[in-house]
Amino acid sequence: MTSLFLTILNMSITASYVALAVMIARFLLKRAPKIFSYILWSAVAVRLLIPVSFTSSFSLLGLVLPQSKAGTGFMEFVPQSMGMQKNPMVDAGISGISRFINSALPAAVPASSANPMQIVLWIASIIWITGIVVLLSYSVLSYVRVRARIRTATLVRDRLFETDRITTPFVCGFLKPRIYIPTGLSEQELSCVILHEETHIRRRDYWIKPLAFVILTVHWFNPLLWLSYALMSKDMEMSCDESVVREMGDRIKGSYSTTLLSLAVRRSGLATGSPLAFGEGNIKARIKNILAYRRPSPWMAAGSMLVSAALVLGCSANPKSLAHPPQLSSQPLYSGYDMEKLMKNKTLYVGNHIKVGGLIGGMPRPNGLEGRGIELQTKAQPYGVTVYYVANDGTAVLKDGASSGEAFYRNSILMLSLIDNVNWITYSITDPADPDDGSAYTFTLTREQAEKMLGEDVRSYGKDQTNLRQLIDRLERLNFKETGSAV
Amino acid sequence: MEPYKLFDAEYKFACLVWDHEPVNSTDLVKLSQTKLGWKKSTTYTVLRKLCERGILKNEEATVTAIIKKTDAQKYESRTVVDKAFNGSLPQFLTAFLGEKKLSEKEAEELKRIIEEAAR
Repeated sequence: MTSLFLTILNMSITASYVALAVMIARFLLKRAPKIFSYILWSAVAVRLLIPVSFTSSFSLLGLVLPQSKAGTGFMEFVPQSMGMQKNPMVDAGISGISRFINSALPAAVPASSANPMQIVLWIASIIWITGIVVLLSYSVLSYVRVRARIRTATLVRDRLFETDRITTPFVCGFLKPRIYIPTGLSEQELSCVILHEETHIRRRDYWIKPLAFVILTVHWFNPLLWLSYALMSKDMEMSCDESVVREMGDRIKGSYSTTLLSLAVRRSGLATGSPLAFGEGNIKARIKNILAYRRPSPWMAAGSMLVSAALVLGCSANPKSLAHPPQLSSQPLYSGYDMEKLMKNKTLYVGNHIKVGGLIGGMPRPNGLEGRGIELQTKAQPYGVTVYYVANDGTAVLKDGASSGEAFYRNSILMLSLIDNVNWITYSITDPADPDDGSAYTFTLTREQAEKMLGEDVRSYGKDQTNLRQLIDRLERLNFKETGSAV
Repeated sequence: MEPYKLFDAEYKFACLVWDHEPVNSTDLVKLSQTKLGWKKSTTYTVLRKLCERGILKNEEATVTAIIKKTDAQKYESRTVVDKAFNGSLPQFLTAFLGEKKLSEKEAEELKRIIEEAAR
């Protein structure tokens, strides 16, 4: 459940960016017909609907774990994940299987682990589910209430029903949508109202709005999406208003506005309540919009079409199009590793010193150490690499021998996974400040040891970025205490 | 609730009964479906409620009205006059007629009604 929650959280955050983009675009399209603003929201919907094939909880979790290990506070979690969630987006190719395994991983942990992050996440998931249940039951209840109220509505003609128990017209029904109107509307009012509601039916708004509300229910914790829902409803109504004016001509503007206003006045506190009903809302803004509406010039229409099409495609269809570039620039490192550089310098032969150097450059260098070059042992099997560092800031960086050693072993395993024919990696660190001048700490790891620790050939992780990330995550969690030999 | 107070739907349904009484309840269901667009269950629910309030009567699947249409109309019109015109009939008539012109025949009829009521 926690992993499901994280997935939803991920999608929610991604969608928030899209929603912000839509809001900006909406602002630019203020003058354009509202239908374009309305269409824009589909990008947000797609983002909220497209499931884990694009976003994987895997990477988020992988990044959450080391972070909570490092003892960072809870407050940092959400902004952190905001940054992190972009990573899985880049890799559209995450296989469903690895996702399944990885999402199953944390589920096993909460019982045994005292990791506060997981407990917090678990509680958050419970709250999340509870919120959904509450919201859903509320909306089902109010839907049932509205249905009861319109049960005795009487047929006027076709699918038009009237009743004195409602105050505002709306469309209701999923398969056979019907228009319900309050009794006592004048002919003039009636024609406007019917035209407006028929437009809703033609556009399948009676499906779109409930669907949007269900999505919103799942993402109820995201205030930006509540705002989006409200704005979307407004755009939906306004574009229907505009279509009435377009069909009836400019002369209708005055009486249409009066109709809206009189319907708004009738509604004395007795709100329809159901989010599934149409009508109502933003009467002032809607009247302003109707009065200001002008048939768009072809230029304007084409421009708006272009903007909305570009945004919808860019935000929803392919995550690589719009989502890709900012991700690269903002998040090039994964846990301090330069993934691009590592993959570029993957090599079959340890003898390729440029690539080996590139690999070392792509890994995080422990603080206070300065590189002193590498030495390749390629004359005879077993082949090996020695990486030399010197402590440069006088303070004895190696005091905490175990933890620095951990970092070196981690890097060693990564090198073993990316250099096909290397058999051992040695890190050698000299510390001039050390009393026994010239002494060197060395950390050596052989391929045999690495395979024993991970239980498999580490080279399989070198296949692609996704696998390499998994390796990094595993290494973060690995305990190196009894391994190796600090000399 | 006052016994004669009818919702729009109830009034329309009662009109069907007034126009067709005595009417078989199965026929009434059919009538409601074509005229009001109601499902069978809706018709029976409304029928039951109106019977409980003593407006209609359903005996051996035959529906008849207890309250006459004129009674219901009397009540409705009085409510309107009371509520919107402080019970003043002249005020109501003025507002109702508005710009409308009465035909000779209508005026004659009204005059006769008023004379009968004043007697």
